[in-house]
Amino acid sequence: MTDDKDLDLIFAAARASRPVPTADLLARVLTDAYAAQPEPPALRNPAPRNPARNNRAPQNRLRQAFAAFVQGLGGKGALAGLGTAAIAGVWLGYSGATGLDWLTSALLSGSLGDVEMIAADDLFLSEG
Amino acid sequence: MPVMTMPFDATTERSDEALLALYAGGDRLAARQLTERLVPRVLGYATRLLGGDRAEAEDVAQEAMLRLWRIAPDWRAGEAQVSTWLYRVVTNLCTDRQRGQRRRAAPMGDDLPDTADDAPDAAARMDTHARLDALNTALASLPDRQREAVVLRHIEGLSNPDIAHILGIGVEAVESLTARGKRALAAALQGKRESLGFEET
Repeated sequence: MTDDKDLDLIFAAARASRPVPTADLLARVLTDAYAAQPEPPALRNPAPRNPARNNRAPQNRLRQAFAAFVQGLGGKGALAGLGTAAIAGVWLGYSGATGLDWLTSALLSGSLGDVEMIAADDLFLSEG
Repeated sequence: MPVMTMPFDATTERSDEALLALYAGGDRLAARQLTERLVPRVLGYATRLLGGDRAEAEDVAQEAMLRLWRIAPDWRAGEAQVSTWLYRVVTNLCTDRQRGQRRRAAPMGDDLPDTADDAPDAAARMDTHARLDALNTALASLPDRQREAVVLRHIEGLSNPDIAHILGIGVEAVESLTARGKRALAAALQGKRESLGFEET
């Protein structure tokens, strides 16, 4: 009976004599490959745009940048508040803060050092 | 001074999966490299499963490769090996053909190399020819699953887990199939030792 060693020799012969594909078979397979192959991605050369849109392109870019800036600040509401504060700051700067002179002089003269934060009478009355 | 040599084509070292991705991206060179790499393997396996019928095996090989080309754009890297996937396709294609038309084993003469430069002498070539012929006949007598397992294990040289994946069965079932297949082959070749060039012990 054929033993394992003989079988191994036969298997080895089979491995060594793998069928060689004919040129015709390789050509047929390659033809199939090219026919089924997806088209390579197109080169990144965009088609010419509509000239009218091209003319508006810089304005669109500015508009987009401004919209992004507003969003960065927190939206239109935040922008309105910020604008009001800026105008108020400008007005205070030009009008002169004369109404606060008393506070400035009081601080510099030290007359505010004796201000009682809680009146002594109030403490006395609260005991009953 | 020794001349340093560079690899002739560095892309030949790329995996099947990498080449398939290149193919899907439109690389025609990848198509050629995959063809040259995979068709001999596919053809050899199909030839063994189909009892040496070379014409039928070529049709199976072409069909299996066509299915590979078509699935390439949807191939998910890392989920399966290209070669394992192809073996599975070839197995199914051969099974379908054998179910439709049981064929007698064809002579193996066209499977032998065209040139005899690597054969030691005429007697050895005759022994090899006779052994391959006998192997094909014996393989054809095995049940489909045994034949597939034996060819994948002992001729294609795949691991049992890979074979299990290809045949859609467990590893233990593969071990059982190959063991029974080898016993059946030994029985089929019984009494042919001398005609196959094996010396009596």
